[in-house]
Amino acid sequence: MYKNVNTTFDKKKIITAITLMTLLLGLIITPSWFPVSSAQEEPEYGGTLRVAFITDIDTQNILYAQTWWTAIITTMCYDTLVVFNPDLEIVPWLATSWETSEDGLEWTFHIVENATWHDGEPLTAEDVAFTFTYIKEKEIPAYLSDVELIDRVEVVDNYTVKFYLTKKSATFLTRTVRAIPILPKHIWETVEKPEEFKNEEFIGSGMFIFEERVPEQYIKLRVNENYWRGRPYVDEVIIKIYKDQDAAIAALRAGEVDAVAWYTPTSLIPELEADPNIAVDMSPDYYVYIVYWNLKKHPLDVKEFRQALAYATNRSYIAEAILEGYGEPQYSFIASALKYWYNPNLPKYEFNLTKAAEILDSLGYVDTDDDGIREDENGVPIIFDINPPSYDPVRVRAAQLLEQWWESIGIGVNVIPLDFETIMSKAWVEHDFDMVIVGDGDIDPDYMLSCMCSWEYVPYGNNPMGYNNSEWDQLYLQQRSEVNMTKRREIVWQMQEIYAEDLPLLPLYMAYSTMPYRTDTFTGYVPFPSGMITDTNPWTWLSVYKVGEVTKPGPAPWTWIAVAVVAVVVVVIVAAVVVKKRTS
Amino acid sequence: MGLRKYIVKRGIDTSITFFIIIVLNFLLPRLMPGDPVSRLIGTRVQMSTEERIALLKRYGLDKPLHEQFIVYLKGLLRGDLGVSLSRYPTPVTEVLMYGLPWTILLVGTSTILAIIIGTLLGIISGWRRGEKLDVANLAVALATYSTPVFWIGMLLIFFFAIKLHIFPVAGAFSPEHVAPGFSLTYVIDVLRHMVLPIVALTLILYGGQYLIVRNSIIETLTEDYILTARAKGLDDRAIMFKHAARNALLPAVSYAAIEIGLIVAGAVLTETVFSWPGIGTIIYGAVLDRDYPVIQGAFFIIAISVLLANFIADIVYGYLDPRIRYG
Repeated sequence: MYKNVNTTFDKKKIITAITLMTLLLGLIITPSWFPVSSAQEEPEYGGTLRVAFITDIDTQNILYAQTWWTAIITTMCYDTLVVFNPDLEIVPWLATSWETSEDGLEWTFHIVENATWHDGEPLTAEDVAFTFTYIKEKEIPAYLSDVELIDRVEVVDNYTVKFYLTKKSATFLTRTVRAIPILPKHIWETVEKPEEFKNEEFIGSGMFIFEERVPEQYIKLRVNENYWRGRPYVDEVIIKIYKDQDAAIAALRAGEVDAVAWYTPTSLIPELEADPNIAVDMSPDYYVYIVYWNLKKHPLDVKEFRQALAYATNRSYIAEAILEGYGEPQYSFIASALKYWYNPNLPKYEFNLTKAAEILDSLGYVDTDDDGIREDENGVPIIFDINPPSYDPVRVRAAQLLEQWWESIGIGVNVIPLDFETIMSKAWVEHDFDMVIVGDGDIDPDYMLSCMCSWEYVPYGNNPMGYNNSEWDQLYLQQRSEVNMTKRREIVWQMQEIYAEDLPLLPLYMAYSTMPYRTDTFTGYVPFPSGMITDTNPWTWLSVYKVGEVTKPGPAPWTWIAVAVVAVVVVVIVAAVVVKKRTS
Repeated sequence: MGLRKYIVKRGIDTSITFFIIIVLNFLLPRLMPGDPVSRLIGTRVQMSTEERIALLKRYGLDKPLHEQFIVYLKGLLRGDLGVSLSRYPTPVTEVLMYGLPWTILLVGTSTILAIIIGTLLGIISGWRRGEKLDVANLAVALATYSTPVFWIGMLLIFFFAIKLHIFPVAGAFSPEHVAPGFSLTYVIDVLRHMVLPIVALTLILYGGQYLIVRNSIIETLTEDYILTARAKGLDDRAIMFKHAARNALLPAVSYAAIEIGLIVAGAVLTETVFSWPGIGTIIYGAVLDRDYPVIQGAFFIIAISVLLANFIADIVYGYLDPRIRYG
C-alpha cells in the first residue's frame, strides 16, 4: 500500500491532508450540514497501527509458545471460548453461553454460528472438541495441567460441545477454557508431531489475519473483514521488533510507532508525558513484586522474626519514592488489582522500627559483640544476602531500602544484584538462597496460592521458601475444587489471613502497566490489568481507531540534500589530503 | 619447510583447536547458572511444576551430561546444529540465518570501512608524526576508540532521528512503507536505516586499526632500508607506500584478520541501540534464555570464521613479507 512512498508523494499527501482538513473545518462550522458531536465520536475505519515489541515472538507454533509476546499475537489471531473483561470477570467470547451439571462434572458450551477460519472454512463444535482432545492426546507440555481434568469432549451438534471432567474444578473456566486457543481441526488433525509443526500459515479465527513475518523485524497483521464479532476499526497492525526499550521509546517519539507494548521505567515517564502527543497508560497489574525468603535458614524459620522484618519495611514509601507514585504498596501476594480475590482486611504491619526492635529483643536476638549486628540464640550473627535482578533499578533500590531499614534494627543485609536466570535457578531449582525479589502473579489466584503448597517445594516447583503448612495445603485443594465463586472467595480470603499471620513471603509493591502511546495517531486503547496491550486483553484491538488523518513520517525533502552535503564534504577532505600528499 | 608442508601443519593445529572449541562450546553454556526451563519461572506465561518438568524432558535436558554431549556430537557430524529451545521448534541454522545476512551487511561494511580508513589515516599519521595533522588524527581516533558505542549511537539517534528527522531511529527498513524484495525503494530504505549504525560502528572500530598502523609505520621509518631509499633519492610517495607501508602492514593484517573473523559475531551493542536485526542480539538473547543449541551453533560459526581468517592472514603474510618462511 505504501510501497511507492517518496518525498513528492508525502508532500502531496500533506497537501491533500491540509485541503481535506480545511474542507472539514468548513463543514464543521456549518452546523445544518454536519453535527459536530457525531463527527468526533464516530470512530473511523482504516489506518495502520504500528506497535513496538521488545522481543520477537518465539515461535509460530502456538502450542509450544513460551512468551507473553507470542501470546499477544495468538490473542489477535485466534479465539478462545471465553475471555476476561477489564474487570477480570469471565465473559462469553466464542461461547455465547454455557451450563454446568449439578455435580460440576459436565460443562456444555454453545458457540457462535457465524465464525469462520481465516481460510474460509466454518468454525464448528468439531474444532472445539478437537482442540482440547488433541492437546490432551499429544501431551503438550505447556497445557498438561490445564487438560488433565478433562475426561472427554463430545460434539452435541454443530454449535454445541460438552466437556466431561474427572473432578470438580474452580479453575476450569479461568485457567483451562480461557487459556486454550481454538485450533482449526482441518489443519492440525494431519499434524502427527506437534513439536515439529511450524504453523507458517497461522490460520485462526481471530480478528486479525497473519499476513507476513520477517523474524526479528516485524509481523504484519491484516484485519479480518468477516470477523464474527464485527471487524476492528484498523485495517492493519504492524508489530515492529525493537531490541531495546530505549530504541522503542525513541521510535515512539520520532513517530515511527504508535504504541510500545512494554512498561516504561518510572524515571522516563515525566519526560514522555511532557510531549503533548504522547500519553502513558496507567493500568494496574496483577503482578506483585515479592521478597521470597528461605524459611530453611535460621532465624527466617521463626514466624515472629519475619513479622519483625515486615514491621521494618515501609511499603508505602517504596511506592512513593522509588515508583514515584506509578505503583501501589501491596500487603497480599494476591494483587489488589484482582479486586474480587484480594482480601483488603489483612494486617498491614504498619512501618514501626521500634516495634520491630522490640520483637527481636523479645526473641533474644541481641547484639552481644557490639558490632551493630544482632546474634541469634547460638551467637551466630544474623546476616542475609538479598538478590534483586540486576536489570531492574526499581528492585535494586527497593533492596537497598530494605538494607537500610533492617540494618537500623540490627539485621545484617548484603544487597547482591544478580542476573534474572541466576536468581531463578538459585531459588527455584537449587533452593540455595537467603532472599530474592521477584515479581509474580496470575489472573486467577490459584497459581499464587499454589506457591505456598508443601508439595511445590521441589526443583522447578513454585514454592522456593520451603513453606510447609498442612492446613494451607488442605485449603488449597478445597478452593481448587470449589465451583461456587462466593464460597471459593471465602476460602481464598481465609488463606490470605493465614499468610498474613505466617508471612512465608513478603509482598512489596505493584507497578502500574505503564505502556506509552501517541495520542495524535490512534485512540481507544482499553486499560486492562497488566496493560492496554497484553495477552489477556482482546478489547484494545477491537476498539482502537485512528484519529483523523494519520501522517506517516517519511524522509523530509532535505534529507537527501543533507546526505549530499555530507558526501561532498567527505570527498573534498579526501581530495585535499591526496592533493596535499602529492605536493609535499 | 615449504608452503604446502606449512599448510598441513597448520591444518593439524587448527583441527586440535577446533576440537577443543567444540568441547568448550558444549560445556560453557551449561556452566552458567539456570537452564532453559528455570528461566521461564516468574515470566508472564505461567506454568505448573509438572509442565516445567515435561518441558525439560522434551528438550532432552533430563539426560546425564555425557549423553547430551553424544547427541550434540552426532548432530554436528551430520551438520545438524539442533533445534532452538527459546524459539522451539525452529532449527538453529534458521535462527542464525535471521540475523547473519543483516550482520554481514552492517558489521561487514563497517569493518571494511574501518580497516580502510584506519590504515590510510595510520599511514599518513605515522609519516607525519608530530605534525598538526597527526596530533589531530590521533586525538580523534583515541576519542572515538574509547567512547562506548551505545553513547555515540544514542547521540546520533537523538540529533539525526528524533530532532532532525533525517534518518530513522531504528530497524533495518520500514515495513509500513516498503515491502522487502529487490526494488529500488527497498534498497534506498535499507540504506537510510544503515547510515547511523554504520557511522557509529565505523567510528569505534577504525581507531584500533589506525593506532596499530601508525605505530608500525613509525617503527619502520627508523629502519636502515628507509634511509637507503632516501639516499637513493626516491620520492616520499614511493618510500611511504612501497617501502614503509608494505612492511608496516604485517601487524595490521593480523589485527584486521581477527576483526574480519569476528564479523559474524555481530555487534551486540550497536545492534541493540539501533535495533538492527543482526546476529549479535540473537546470541545475546540466547545467552539470557540459556538456549544451549543456539549458543553452541553461534559460537561454532564464529570459531570457524576466526580460525579461517587467521589461517588466511598467515598465508597473506608470506606475500607481503618475503622474509617470512613458513616453519
